[in-house]
Amino acid sequence: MRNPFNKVVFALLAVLTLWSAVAQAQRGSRGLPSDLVAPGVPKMPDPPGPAPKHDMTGVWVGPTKVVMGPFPAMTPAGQAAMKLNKPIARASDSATKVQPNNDPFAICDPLGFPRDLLNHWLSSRGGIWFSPAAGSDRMLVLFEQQRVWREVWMDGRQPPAKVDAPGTPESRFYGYSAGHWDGDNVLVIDTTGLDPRSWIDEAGHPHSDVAKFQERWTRVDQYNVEATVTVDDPKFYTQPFQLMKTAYYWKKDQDVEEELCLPSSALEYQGRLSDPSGWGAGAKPQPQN
Amino acid sequence: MKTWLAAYILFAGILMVSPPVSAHHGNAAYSDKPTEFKNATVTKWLWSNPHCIVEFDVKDDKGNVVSWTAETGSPEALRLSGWTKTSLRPGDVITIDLHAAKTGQPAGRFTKIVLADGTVLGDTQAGAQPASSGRGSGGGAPADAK
Repeated sequence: MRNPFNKVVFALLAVLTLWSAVAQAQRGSRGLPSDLVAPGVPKMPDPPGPAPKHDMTGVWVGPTKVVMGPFPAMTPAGQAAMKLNKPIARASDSATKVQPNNDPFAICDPLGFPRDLLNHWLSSRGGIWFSPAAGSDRMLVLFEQQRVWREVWMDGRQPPAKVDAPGTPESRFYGYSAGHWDGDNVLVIDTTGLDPRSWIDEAGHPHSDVAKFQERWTRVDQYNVEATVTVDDPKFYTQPFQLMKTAYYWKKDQDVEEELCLPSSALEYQGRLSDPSGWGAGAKPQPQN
Repeated sequence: MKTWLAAYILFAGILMVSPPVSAHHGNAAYSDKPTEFKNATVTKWLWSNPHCIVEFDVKDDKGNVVSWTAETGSPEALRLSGWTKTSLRPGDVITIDLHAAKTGQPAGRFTKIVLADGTVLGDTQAGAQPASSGRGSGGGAPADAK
């Protein structure tokens, strides 16, 4: 690098590269216009106002910036349950194997909690609506996907320690949830009593009937919420772990779309497309090379 | 100079790496090579989750009518690139590009549809832009797949 000409060339290349990277960042990693934070999600005025105290009310879009896991080792029971789940290979997987799947959502079975937080996460723009219920003894969390809701009791009660045993409540796809505020801006939700038929993510990770989930929703500011979900499921996982860390953004029009998985359409999709293509729930495995 | 050049290439490489486009499911079941069908007649347009599908009839090399089915993204994703519930109607004559199933069955994932009026509707997985004209108007930014 003793030649001054080389220094000039290198400096020019570096500036050009940085300029290109900055331009890319301004448009977003997916070529987004600067007035959007994600496809179809308008940017709110910047800077956002401060987070209001004890208030998560509103319609949020996301999740964005999803980080899953890492997952700990599974117990033998957990491994056995995982083997039964055949997820749909995703485009981001490098797998070339084509095999039938049994993803519950492929036939419109409930996503359940916590998978509903991912909003079938690939579009990163599902709506989640936090709304205090009448009487304010509970918070409702309503989901655009499938138009389902969760009730989060805010009156101090605890979710059941056991379900599906004599004298205990029945398990549910969306469980039993109790919430409280930790400080001014963190909503903590504890959930138990989940029906073990649901998957906790699209990769087919299972959960047992004794799984305990804790969500921590942090209202960062007027327009941003961050969420973490931790799991304690000693029946299936060898240690508690953080399942996901993600974020949601304020939905400008505060409107919620209707995103329904229609069983009749799913059957047609399976019969005419995924089964003939070799990866539907009723497909026969293709011979592999 | 070689060291600096190598450092530059590494630096530029890191800056220019983009996250992969996500999609609901992989495309291992489909051929890498696209096939184009002209004068295909739409028989059904399903605007639904988990994926929208178009069913259409087209004549093969021997003049026999074959009924095909092709998928694309979810309504939520398609809206972003200009699709609507009424973008296609039975009887529409279209040109459609798709990646056919490796099983040889008349099924696949389409990448583009051109309507008779010239409107071009793209698949979200291919990073479709808003519809160019006509019935598919109302789109927004390039969409992520679902």
